[in-house]
Amino acid sequence: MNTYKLKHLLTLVFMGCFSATFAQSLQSSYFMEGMTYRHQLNPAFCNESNYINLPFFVLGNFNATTTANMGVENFIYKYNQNGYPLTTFMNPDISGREFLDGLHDKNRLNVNLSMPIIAFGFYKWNGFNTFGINLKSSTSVNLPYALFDFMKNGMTDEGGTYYNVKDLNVRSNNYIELALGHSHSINERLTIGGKFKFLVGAGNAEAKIKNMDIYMSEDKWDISAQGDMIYSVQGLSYKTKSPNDLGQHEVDGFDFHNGGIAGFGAAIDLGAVYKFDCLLKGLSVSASLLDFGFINWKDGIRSKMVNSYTFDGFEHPIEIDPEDGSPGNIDDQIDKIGDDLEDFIRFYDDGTTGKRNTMLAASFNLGLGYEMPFYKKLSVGLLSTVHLNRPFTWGEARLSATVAPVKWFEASVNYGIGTFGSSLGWVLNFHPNGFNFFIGTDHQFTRITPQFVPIGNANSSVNVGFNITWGKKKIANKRAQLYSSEI
Amino acid sequence: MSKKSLLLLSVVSLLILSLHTSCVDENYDLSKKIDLTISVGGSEFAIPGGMTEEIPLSKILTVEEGDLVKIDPLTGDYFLQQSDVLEKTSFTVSGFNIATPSLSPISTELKFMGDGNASIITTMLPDNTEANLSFTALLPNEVKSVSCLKTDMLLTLTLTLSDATIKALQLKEVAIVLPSGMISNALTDGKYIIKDKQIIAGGKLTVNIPIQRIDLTADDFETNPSGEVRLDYTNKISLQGELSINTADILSGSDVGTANLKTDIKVSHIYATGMKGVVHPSIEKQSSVIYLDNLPDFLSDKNVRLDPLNPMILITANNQSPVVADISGTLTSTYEQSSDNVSVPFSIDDIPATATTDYCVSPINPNLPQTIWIENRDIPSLIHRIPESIAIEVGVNGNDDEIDVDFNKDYYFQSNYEINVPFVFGDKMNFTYTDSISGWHEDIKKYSVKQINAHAIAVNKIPLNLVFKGIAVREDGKGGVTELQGVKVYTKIDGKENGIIKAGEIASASQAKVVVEILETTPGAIKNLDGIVWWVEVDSKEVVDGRLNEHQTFQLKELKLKVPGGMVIDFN
Repeated sequence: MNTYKLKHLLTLVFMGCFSATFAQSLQSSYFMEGMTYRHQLNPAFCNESNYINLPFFVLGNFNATTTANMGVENFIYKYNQNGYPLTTFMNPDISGREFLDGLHDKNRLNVNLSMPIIAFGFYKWNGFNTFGINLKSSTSVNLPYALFDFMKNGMTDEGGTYYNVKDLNVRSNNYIELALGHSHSINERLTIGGKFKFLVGAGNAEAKIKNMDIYMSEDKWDISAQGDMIYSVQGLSYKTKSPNDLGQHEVDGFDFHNGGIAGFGAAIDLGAVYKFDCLLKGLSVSASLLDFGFINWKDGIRSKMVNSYTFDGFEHPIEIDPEDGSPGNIDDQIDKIGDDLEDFIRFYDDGTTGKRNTMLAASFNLGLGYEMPFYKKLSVGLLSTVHLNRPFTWGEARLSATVAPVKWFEASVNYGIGTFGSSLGWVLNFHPNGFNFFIGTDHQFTRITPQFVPIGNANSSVNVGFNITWGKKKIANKRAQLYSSEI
Repeated sequence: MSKKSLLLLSVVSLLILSLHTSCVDENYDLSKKIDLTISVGGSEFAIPGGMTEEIPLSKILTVEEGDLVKIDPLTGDYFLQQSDVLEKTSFTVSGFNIATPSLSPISTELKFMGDGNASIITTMLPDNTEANLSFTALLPNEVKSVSCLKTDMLLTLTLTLSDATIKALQLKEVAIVLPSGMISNALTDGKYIIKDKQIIAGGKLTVNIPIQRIDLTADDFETNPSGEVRLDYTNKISLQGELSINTADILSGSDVGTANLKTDIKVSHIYATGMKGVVHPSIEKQSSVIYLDNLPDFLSDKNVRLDPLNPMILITANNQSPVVADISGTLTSTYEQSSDNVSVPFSIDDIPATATTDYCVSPINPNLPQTIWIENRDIPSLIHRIPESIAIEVGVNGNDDEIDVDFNKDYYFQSNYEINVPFVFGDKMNFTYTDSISGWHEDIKKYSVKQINAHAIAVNKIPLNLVFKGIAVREDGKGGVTELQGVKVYTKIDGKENGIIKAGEIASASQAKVVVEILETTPGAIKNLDGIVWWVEVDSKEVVDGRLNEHQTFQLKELKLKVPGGMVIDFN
């Protein structure tokens, strides 16, 4: 493989890994009223106090999240043979069934970034107002089942084996958002909220193989694939080789000069909370639509591959004792197979993309909360989330129990089930007067390697935050003045 | 903060710590080595291979300069050829000495009676004016008969006039008549004519007559009791003719001219330089041995059995003698066991004298141009198995035809001979062709497979039946290879072990499905595989006109390499 192809992949992977040090909002905290950044899950949520993070201090809301429906144990197996404690899924002692049964049609890995650079919120204008400058990144990888089926099982039928690998994707979206939010209580039951986000694009990249057909038989190997790669990163350009016979310029690397803003965009968050005390005291329903927007990227660079390769035997009849340079030399022909396969995975410069819009990965949350009548400090909630990001769309339902035994502390434990399997989440939130400290996870790992890599599905998140708060009583009083009961 | 709050905080902190430490699975320590043995290809892994070129026989049965097996540059036919030149066989026919001939002088009294008026008086020589000539010689053994003797002989006749009453004698026309078989350039119609010559009284006239040849008859020979043949030649020389005198030459006081004409006949020298007759020269037998030691490997095996339809012994006889010769010889194929030796006699009659003639001794007439075919159905037996050598012994004899021969002249007879075996076989030929493919170990040692099957369609345009076999080999540590235990090689033709790829022709190929299975019977053994030594058992059963030609081909089509269970590669 040419080094540039590796660079392609590494660029995308590193973008993802970088963003993996940050994460989106903590789903487990949806029903915790003392959480500072709960408005990121539903802009209708009001905080109990004003807050400000320490500018440029990432611990204001440090989130690290990966979500996946696959993990280490899908690919690394206990072995304990020949001095090796572990082996890979490609080991002949690992059956195809054992390996593939642990995979899904679409094997996904998502990593996200949402890091506040500046964030604060305050109560004013009969509502709660937020402002934030956030660095956001989301990177998603989709590895189709057929790819692993092909790798593991190869040719299984003497008459020919066919694989169709669809939507092999890596996508990364990186931007800074300036968010202005306001939540407002319409009446004692209904609170609505919204955010407007102005987006400054840092970079967008997507590599995909839309379709790859692999047919292997004893008479013919036939592979065809269509794919492309797009980079919208200001100052990034391809290094290319001299044109081939078809006038195509093979991509041979990257140049990066004079980076800058890659695009601009806008998005909105909308939310509402409705208390159904009329039906059942303590029952509330909430809903939110997040990151509904787009980014208009400036000129990007595009490369494409539309290749097919058929091998039905050596091109020239195999010669016995060939002369040097003879086309029938089998050694030369074997070398040519390698060259042809290398040609197959080449990308060619396809010019620029022109301006283009990409939608943000929007999320929709629907929450149902209930305060226990026998112990008001305990509540339960059910949160349904759909994350729209084709082909990386995922969904989840999470059942939470939240307890607030004292005014300055609350805790939540929850269990979710969804696209990435089941997960256990918990949050501890300390919110006395003056500061707020929280720690929690949406995906409590139950088994990890000594290197802290989840062994099961690669779902993990560590969320830690520390913010300065004030005005808790004042806000409570103002809200009490407005309505007879707190939302 | 109250005690209750502190207690709560402590409990929560311990809970978090325990959550993050109790879940570590030490068995998944990614810092330790991970086995990188991988399996690729799948249970029915197969690689299409295409086809080979149409491999000409010249690439399989390679012929190098100096090999006994050769390829006809015009037709492309294979043949085995070895030739040699027998030593020149020289011989002479000894001359023989002729004893000094005995000759008796002739004395003739002449009288000339005149009538008184004539000025010239003539008279005729009497009829008995003759002398006996005889000589003898002992013929050499190789001379069986002589019909003509070539000679270097000078007959001298001296005529003298004595006791004469005349002053001179005129020889108007006198003929010296030699025996009819005595040939001289000086004779006219068998006579030497003396015309208008004069002999002065007391003088003489000398005549020399060279004799080049003397024809002989059987009567001129006699055989003594010891078997020797003696030439005993006796004949007469006579004088005939008219003599005259001038009356004026008659001495005074005499009416009649008288004279005594004496003829002395001598043979100044007589040599026999050659002869015509039957000669059986003494020629030593000649022999030679051709060693068949530059054979290609596939013919070197002692089990090779050829069934050549028409092996030929080509003989070029260069007979630089006047003898029409007969050759009789023996060809002997010699083997390691002398009891296996095979001898085949052959003969060629009537080899023309002073000519170079080509002969072909073979069972079937190959119709070679300007070559005389001598049928001999036993020649193939010489080469049914390739002998170590073929010896030839040749004797040359003259026949009973009369020939002209010069005595003591060197004559020679020389023959070139060639063993020429066109590779056209009957149905009993078989041999084994062995070859090998090696040098795999360096590449294959990282791979592990249970079985490798090579599938192909064999297209055979060679008029031979082929049975493929092979064994797996490993490096022997001495630069060679030795059989690899634990890996078996099976060959199936049309689904049968030891099946046959039937003989084909250029215009009509035979086809067969070929499967070569390399099967690991001892786990891990195949990692030591360095190659395959394979051999082809070749025979010509039911083959018509099994002629090997360099343009005949063998080809493998629809090549597939199947690796059931896939390949295991060790990347550790």
